[in-house]
Parts: sequence; C-alpha cells; structure tokens
Amino acid sequence: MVQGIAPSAAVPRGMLIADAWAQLGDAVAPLSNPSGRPLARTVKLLLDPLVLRPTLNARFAGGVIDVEHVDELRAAILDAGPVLAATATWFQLVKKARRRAGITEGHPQDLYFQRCFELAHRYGDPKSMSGAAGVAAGAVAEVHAERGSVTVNRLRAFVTDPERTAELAGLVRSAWEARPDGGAAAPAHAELREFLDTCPTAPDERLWRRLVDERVGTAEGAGLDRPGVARRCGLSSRERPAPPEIGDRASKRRLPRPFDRSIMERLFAAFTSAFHRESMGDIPALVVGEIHRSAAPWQLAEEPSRITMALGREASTGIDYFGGRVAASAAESRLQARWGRESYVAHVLRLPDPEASGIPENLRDDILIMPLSYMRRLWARLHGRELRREATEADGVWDLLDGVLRSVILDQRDRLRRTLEREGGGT
Amino acid sequence: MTEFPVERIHSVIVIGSLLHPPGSPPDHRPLHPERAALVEPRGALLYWDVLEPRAHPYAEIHEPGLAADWLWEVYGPEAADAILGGADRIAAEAESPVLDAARGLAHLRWAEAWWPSSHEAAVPALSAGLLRAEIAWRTAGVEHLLDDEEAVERALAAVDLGPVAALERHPVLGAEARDLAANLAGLAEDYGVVLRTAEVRARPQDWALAAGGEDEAGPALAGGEAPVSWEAVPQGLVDAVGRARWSLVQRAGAFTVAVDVPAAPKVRGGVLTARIGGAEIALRHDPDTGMFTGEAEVPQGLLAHLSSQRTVHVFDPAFGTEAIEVDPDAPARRAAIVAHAYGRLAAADASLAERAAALGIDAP
Repeated sequence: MVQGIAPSAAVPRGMLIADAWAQLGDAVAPLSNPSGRPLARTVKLLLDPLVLRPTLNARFAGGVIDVEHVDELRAAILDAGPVLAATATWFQLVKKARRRAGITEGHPQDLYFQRCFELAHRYGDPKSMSGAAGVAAGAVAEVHAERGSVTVNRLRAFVTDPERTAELAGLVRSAWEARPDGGAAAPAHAELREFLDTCPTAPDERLWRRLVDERVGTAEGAGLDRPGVARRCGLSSRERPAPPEIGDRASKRRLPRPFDRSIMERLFAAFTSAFHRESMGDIPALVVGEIHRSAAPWQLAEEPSRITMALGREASTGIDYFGGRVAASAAESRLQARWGRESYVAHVLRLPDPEASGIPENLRDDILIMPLSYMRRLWARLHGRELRREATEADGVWDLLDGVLRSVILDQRDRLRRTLEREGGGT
Repeated sequence: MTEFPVERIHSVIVIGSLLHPPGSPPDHRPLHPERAALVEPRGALLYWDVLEPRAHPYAEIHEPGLAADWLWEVYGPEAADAILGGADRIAAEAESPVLDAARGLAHLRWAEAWWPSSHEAAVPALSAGLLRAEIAWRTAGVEHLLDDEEAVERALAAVDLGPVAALERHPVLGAEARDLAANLAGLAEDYGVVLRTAEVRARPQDWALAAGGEDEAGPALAGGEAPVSWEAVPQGLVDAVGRARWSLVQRAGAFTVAVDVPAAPKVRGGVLTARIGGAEIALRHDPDTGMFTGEAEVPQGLLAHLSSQRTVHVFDPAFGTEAIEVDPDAPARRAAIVAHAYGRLAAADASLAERAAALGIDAP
C-alpha cells in the first residue's frame, strides 16, 4: 500500500496514476509536467486509450478505483514502463526532427504522442538502435504529408476552377430543391428534457437510441425554415436560411453565422482548427458532401448531431446574462451554474464589464445573449466532428454541451482582455 | 496542518467558508474579488485570500466526481477522502508540489489583476511581461488538473520573451531569468506555440513622484476629492491610492469644473470619464504631470447641483460603468492590499516580477 492512501473502499484514480507514474522516474519526464505528473494529454492520448483502456476495463474507469483493483491498475502502468520510457525518448527525437524540418503547425502532443507509442512498440528504445533519428524524421514527414493533402489552397483551387463552378452551383440548387418543405413548427419533444436530465451523470442509452430511431433531431430542425427561427437560434442573420454560395475566400475572423457561410467558409473553418485533419475525406468528396449537408436539417448530416443541436437549444435557453430562469433539466441547471460562476471569476480577473459603453458592440451582444454564441459554437463543433467522422454517442453528449459553454466563455474572456490591450493601460 | 470546516450548500461542497469574518455577505463566495487569488481546476474553484498567509485554499466543489481526481494533491489524501466522504471538518496537510504550483499561479494572476501600483504609496508597477511569462510556467505545473484543456497554450500565446531576455544579464536576477526563458522555450516546443520575442529597450526611469497641475484660472470656488473605485478602472491605469480631485473655477465669465486623477506608474495612455453634479468630463493622460486631467464648462443650471452633489465618480468607459456602488469596506480593504503588496516586494517567495520591481528594474 502506498504511503498516504487511506484504507478506504476506493482510491482517487489520479492519485494512483500519479503514484505509479512517479515510480517510472526520469525516463518518462518528457511526458510529464513540471510538477512531475503525467501531462493531461499523456493521460488522454496514451494512458487511457493504450494502457488502461477504461472503456474495456470498467474497473479502471471513473474518478475513484475500488480498493481491490488498485494493485492491478498500478501494475498495468508499471508494466507499460519500458514502452512509455521508449515513447518519451521517441518524442524527444520527433520534436528534434520537427524543429529541423522547420514545422510549426499543429500540436506536437496531439500529433506525435500516439505515433511515438507505435514507434516504441515497433523499435523499442531508440537509444539502442542505429538510425533512430532517420526514423523520427520519417514519422514527422509522414504525419505532415497526411495532413497536408487536404489544404486550404487545394480547396480554393477546386471550388474556383472555372470548369467546375457551374456544376457545383447546380449541385447546390438541386440539393436545396430536393429539401422537404420545412414550414411546420417542431412539435415539442418531452424526451429531450428527459435525456438532458440524465446526460450529465448517467446518460440514458436507451432513450438516446429512441431519439435517434425516431429522428427527433430531424423533426426538431424542421421549424428552422420558418421566418426568424434560425436567426433567433444564432445560426443565421437572415430571416430564412438561403442556399449557400460556393465562395472563393474565407478568413477566420468574422466568419458569418453558420447557415450564412459559403461552402468554402464551412470547410475552411474545419480545416484550420482540426486536429485529425488526416481523417477527413478528399477534397471533391468533402465539397460535394458539404453541399448536401447544407441542405439537410440543422445543416448537419447525422441524426446524432441534429439531436445534439436540439438538446443544446433546449439546455442553453437558461444561460442568461441577467439570470432568472428556473432550469428545466439537470443539464440546463449545470450550464447555468457554470455561467453563474463566470460573473464572480470575471470580477476576480478584473475583466471589463461587458455593459461598459466602450466595449465593442458585437462582443457585448455575444456575452449578453449567450444562447446565440452557444448555438453557433455547438454547430461548429458538431460540423467538425462530422468531417472527422467522429460519432456522437449518448455518453459523449454532456462533455460536448458543457465543453462548448466552457470554450465560449474562455474565448470571451480573451476578447475582453484584448480590449484592455487596445486601451493602452500600464500593464 | 490547517483546519477547515466543510459545508454542503445545495449540491455544492464549500470548504472554509465559516472562517470568514462575520459581516461578510451570506454568499458562499465571501471573498471580495480584490482579495481573491483564483485557480480553476476541473469541477471546482479554488481561492486563496491574499491577505491571509494560509497554504491551502478555500474551495467550492460543484462536481465531486471530477474533483476526486486531484483533490488529494491540494488538501492531502486523508482530507480529500473526508471531503468526499461527507465530513464537516477537515485537517489539510501541507507539502505538495502541485499545491505550491497552484498557489503560485493564483498569486501571479491576482497580481496581474489587482497589484496596486502607486506613486503615492511607493508601490512600483510589476512588469506585465514578466508576470505573463511566470504565469505560463506555473500554469504548466498544474495543467493536469485545470478545467481549461488549453490553458498552457492560452498562457503561452500571451507570452513575450522580450522582458525575460532583458533580465538575463542582470547580476541578481539573471540566472533565474535564463532558467525561465529556457523552461518556456521547452514548453513552447512541447505545445507547438511560437513564442514572440520583442526587442526591449531600456526606458528612462519612470519613478519620479508625479507633480500636481497648477491652476491657471482664478481661485477655486468649490472643490473636493474622492477615491477611485478599483472596479471601475482596469489594472495599471490609475494610482491605486490616488484620489480624484475636482475644483470649480471662474474663467472669463464662465464656470469651469476641472478634475484630475493621479495616473499609475508606467501608464501609457488611456481615457477616463469623470462625472460630477451631472456634468461628464473626459480625462486624458498628461505624461508631463503624471495625471489624468480634464475640464468642462458647467452650464448655469448645474451649479446648483454642484453644491449638493459633490462626489466625483471616475470610471473608464471602456471598462466599467458608473453604476459602481460605494463600498464602505473598500478603504480598509485597499489599505491592507497595498500593505500586502509592499510586503511582497521583500518576501522570501517573491515572484521574479516582484523582485524585479523591488530592484527598480523597468521592464514592460
């Protein structure tokens, strides 16, 4: 028994991992943070999916581990010690190769951790092998070649090719003509609230499957063609959604609202932010797919994405700057609580008051009318997941709903901070 | 060993609230923002009171399942177990590198927001560049427990190595500055962030006491002064203890109200608004006097107001609104914070930014 672990029925998982990790010593330092703990991404990309596999080994899942499985979990990490040490050394070599190749794009941990783990399995410790630097350089080149095949320049060349523009415009036209007449108001679906009640703690898988089978997300999206509905959701500035342009340019700043984006802008936004860009299809397939997606309910292709939009619309109603609404579900109540904490945190961080007259109007609107900012970000997240072919399942919905609010809040903090820099104060 | 009471308010676990002085608001976040040094881990908020030398933070835990992962690193394994097990009192153990890193980060971020730089109180401004560099390094030490999965990237994006590089040859702080620069370079490589390094030129010392402006007009007919609320202006603009002064003068037959507010050390500009007796006056920074100054003619009708509404409200229209309530506790709290900052300059665990300021180094 590790010193300090009380003989209680369960032990915090983080403590067990930290303890086993410490026993691996300096060999894994490149995968550790300055406090000697495994990096967040070491846990997320290496320990969880490749060593502990909590989805397969339920006894290793959750915040606390039953005392009877403690030794087993520790042994799993210690057994993986040599391969983790080799992974760490490969990571150092790969970073060196990246530096030599002058590559600065992408997140090195996201891009190379799992690749280094593969190298460690295949070749073992690079220190005892000749030509390791060459292997590392090859791995870096491969990662970036896969990512490079889908580039913004190639996308732009494809959509602006004069021989193709008429054909693409025709595809948009026919896709939009084939849309079902979406004039009806969405019937209220009480199951959405029911699912929102369970999803933060114990997502109801059967209910989720029923929502998918009954195409509740599609039905909920039907009303978006009615005047003003998409606008009031934050998804369009127009009174009614219109077929998108193909477009020939895009800029990360000032992207229009999701439904008003051109095909080029939609794909561009996903390209520039995407980790796992290599898992996307090729350009012609992406463009045609995007055209069809634009004509679909919620302008998303998959039923789970549409259900998540409907859930987001329901749950985000109560994220109100001025407060006051009683939450209708557990998920809504948690989102409200996160937003409620933000007003205290913003004071502690001495951020500008969004109601100050000198705050840019678009920033003030984004903060005062949070559900709109929320829905835009949620749409972009789901759209990105569709492009990367990541399935959205019942047990991932809450992380998405909560993560979207966190990300909107953190971006707004950054924007508020930037207004101070323009101000030219002393610090 | 520190004892904390543990309360459960609705679904939130609150650690330490009973220790707060009587008379603080009934909220479970009784710490005034000006005193709070904050860290945001997954599922909770941790805050230290900068006026208390306590090692362990107060906390509100809203998702115990998420917090279980790291709670033991902050309060010790037994206390964490007790918190999650429903105890109403815990004894927190000291000593953990993660606790130190979290507390260090919290204090740096507090300094970034509330450091009370002041000519009048002789509290020098801290280098924002050094603070951001230290914040990035401290953030990396607790990245595994933070709610923001991109906290390190975000912190690195704000870093400019220029102010750190400018210290690298300093006889006292050079070694530490070099270590910090090397650590940040390593982090930047691990997180795929390209650090900026702006050339830093030595600037002339900006530490002369600000001189007050001279009145050119006739003798003041009326006047007064009032403190400037910290919540109405951004960090580093207004002298933390400086008072806004106004005076009414008669010039060429017209009545003019003039307002001046002492600027903070190292201020680079900015515009304030003063409101008095219904008149609104824009105040601009005058680098020669170290004051924000402005004046406006007062319509006859307002003169009557001036005799009854003699309080001047100063705010930055790009930061706050004038609707900041008068807080009777503010003077005492702010005096304590200024004393705390003054003490930090000589503290054994002072940050690089604090020590650089104490040595009179003028880094941006």
